[in-house]
Amino acid sequence: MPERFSDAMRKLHFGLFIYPGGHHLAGWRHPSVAPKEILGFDYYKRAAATAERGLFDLYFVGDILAAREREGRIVAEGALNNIDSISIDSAIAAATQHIGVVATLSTTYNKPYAIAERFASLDHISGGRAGWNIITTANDDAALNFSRKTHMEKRLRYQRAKEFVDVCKGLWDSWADDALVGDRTGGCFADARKIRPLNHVGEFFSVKNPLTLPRPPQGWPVLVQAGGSQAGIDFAASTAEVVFTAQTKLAEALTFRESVESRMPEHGRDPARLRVLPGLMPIIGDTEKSALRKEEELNELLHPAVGVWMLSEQLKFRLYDFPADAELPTADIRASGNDFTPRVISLLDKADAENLSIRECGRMIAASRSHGSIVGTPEQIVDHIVSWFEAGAADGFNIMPPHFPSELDIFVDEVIPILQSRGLFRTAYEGTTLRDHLDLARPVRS
Amino acid sequence: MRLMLSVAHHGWHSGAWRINESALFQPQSLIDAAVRAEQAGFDAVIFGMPNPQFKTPGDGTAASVRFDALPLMGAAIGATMRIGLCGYWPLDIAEPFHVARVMASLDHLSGGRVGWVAGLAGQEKLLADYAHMALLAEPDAAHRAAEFISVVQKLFDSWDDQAYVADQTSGIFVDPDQVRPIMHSGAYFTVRGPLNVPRPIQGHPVIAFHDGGSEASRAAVLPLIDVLLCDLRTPDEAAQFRSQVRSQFSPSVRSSPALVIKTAMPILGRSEREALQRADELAALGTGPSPFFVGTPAGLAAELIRWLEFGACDGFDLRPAVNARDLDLICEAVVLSSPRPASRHSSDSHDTLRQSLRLARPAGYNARAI
Repeated sequence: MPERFSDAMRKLHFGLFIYPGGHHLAGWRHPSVAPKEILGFDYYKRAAATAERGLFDLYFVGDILAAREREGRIVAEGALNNIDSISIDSAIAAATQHIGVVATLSTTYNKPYAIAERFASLDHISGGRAGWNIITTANDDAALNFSRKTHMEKRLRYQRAKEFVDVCKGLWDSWADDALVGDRTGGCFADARKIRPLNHVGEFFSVKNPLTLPRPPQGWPVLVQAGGSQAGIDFAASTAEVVFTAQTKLAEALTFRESVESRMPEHGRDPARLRVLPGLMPIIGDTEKSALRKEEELNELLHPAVGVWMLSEQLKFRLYDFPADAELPTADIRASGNDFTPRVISLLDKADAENLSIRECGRMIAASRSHGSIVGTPEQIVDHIVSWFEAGAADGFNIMPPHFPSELDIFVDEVIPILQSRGLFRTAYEGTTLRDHLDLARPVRS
Repeated sequence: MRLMLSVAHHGWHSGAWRINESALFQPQSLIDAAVRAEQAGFDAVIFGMPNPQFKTPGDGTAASVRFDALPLMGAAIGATMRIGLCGYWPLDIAEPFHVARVMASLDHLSGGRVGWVAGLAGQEKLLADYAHMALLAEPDAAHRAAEFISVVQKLFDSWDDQAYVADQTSGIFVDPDQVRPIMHSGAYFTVRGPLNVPRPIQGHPVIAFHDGGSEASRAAVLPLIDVLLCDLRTPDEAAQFRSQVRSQFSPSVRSSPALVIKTAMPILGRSEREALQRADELAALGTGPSPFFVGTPAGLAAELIRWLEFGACDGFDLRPAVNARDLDLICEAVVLSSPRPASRHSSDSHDTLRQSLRLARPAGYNARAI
């Protein structure tokens, strides 16, 4: 691992990953949660205030463009999808002072001029705290909500994403940083020589005009990427400044990071300019025993149908008619010829190695939605975080509380202070922009 | 009298930025304007409306600063308590699923205060920045617009009001019997649904249409919308237009005809004389829409009342020529023309935008089916 990971000045970075109810799929059933409130502004604002009190780098909201269904009907037992991420993040940006806001938008189902305008606006009104989690949308059923018969195939999706982001960068750069002149007497608002039309004509898009906004405070919003497939890794290497990833084992997380970093130089990028934030669901107790009990209570709340549904969806294999205690039919699943994500492959390997039943696999995948999870005392959580951080497998984590708000409070009140006392996490916000928090350079206008 | 305030950076006159009081570039000023409008008792603010005074972005002489409406609507949620928050989102560069998802989300976050101002960005914009999209001429653009709005409405209704159960004891989050795909298949859109956001607090967020001058589009969308924003020159012309809108109204489709809201840019001063000076000063600094009224706040209040009593419109979309000068004076005029004691609202509750505008809450899918 590169030397930079042993730099004593290196600091952790934390995101708060918002999910209605909580990240444990039964989290919303916990008595401390008021599930009817999870659509209101106060719910999101409270989580943001706590994350900001905990000096988190960013507030992260996902996006999904189709209802979760089982056999053509909405899933009764599953928690709600996120509502729109730009809506949440712009409301949160205005209600906070420091924390970055990362919104998720699909390049497959949007148009670049509108999205460049949206993120430039968000960056301006937040004073430079916007980030864009760039997704190509993995679920096939979204196509049916956008007048398409089939989902665009992955190779094309990533080609389109590349061109989409290039167009956005060109639009954010259409005004020079010093284009705004403001000569009231002479009638020159902006120096026209410092505003250039894009005149882009590409395979997917044709875009002529510059933006109607000065260059965003951060130059570009921070570019975030979250796909783990080969195409996703290539895209991350070419584009992403922050990678959000589902990793459960340190060795695999290291391999993943190396695979992204090794491809960055061919895109002219410095691997030191990459922040890797795996998802992490912490379940925290005063003692290890109480933490384990907490986990068990949450798992008990999990409706059995949720696990089977999630498993069927992730494996793209119908498991509803199998007895729940039957072993996961891994051979049939592998033979289906579906294009599996790395996280699904690792689940199949684990099921083979341990002869896991459908019920067990369902619980596993539903509990933390296949992200990493750690159960223990605050000190044990800290040890886990520090071991991944020092090994270079992570620069920090996107924290996924099993439910809101109480479990987030515990992380902020019990875990963050230990990391601060060890000199591994900030004790105050030092800069004003999300790039400042993440120690990422502001892009120079090309 | 229904009152909305269209907020543009600097103001609606292209010379606004050259007035000394105008901040050169201050995104927060747009949110502050919403707060000010709320204090004055406006029913709604509108963000992101197109301003025909500003031509090509980047020509340097015009302050053609325009924000995307959605982040402004979101940012205004926490800064305000009860004012409606509307945003312009032209439908010829959008997808119905996105519009329904975003507007439903904002409606939940804001406690039912959201409105969508639909419109057409137009051929010139499409050719410039969306040339990869199919270009439609009238009457196709009009048919597409009407289909677009009806798909958005169907998506809002894909969840019944009580579908979101969230019963912690049984573990049932959503009642699947109360959520259904819309299976829309039309000339321009094929949308399966359902939406993945529960039915908005208002049933449907208020749907307004910005009349960009295409008669075909206006006629096509009129049976579907709550509010029509249009520029009407004289009270006579306006009254005639409004009675035409009302005569075409069919109670079988909607419970009330669309509100006709006149867009109006006044230029105000503390005295008539000051207002006239300001109008002259602005004319020397740039081009602007011809002012609706030049004079004092009291004069503007009287003019608004005169139009309303003449039956010319249901209210106004007021547009400050120069925010730094006209916003406060417009707010004074609003207080004079339509006193709304702040005590009407208790601090812990607010009306939805539909309630403020006295628009009925649309019944859901089941009412539609019967």
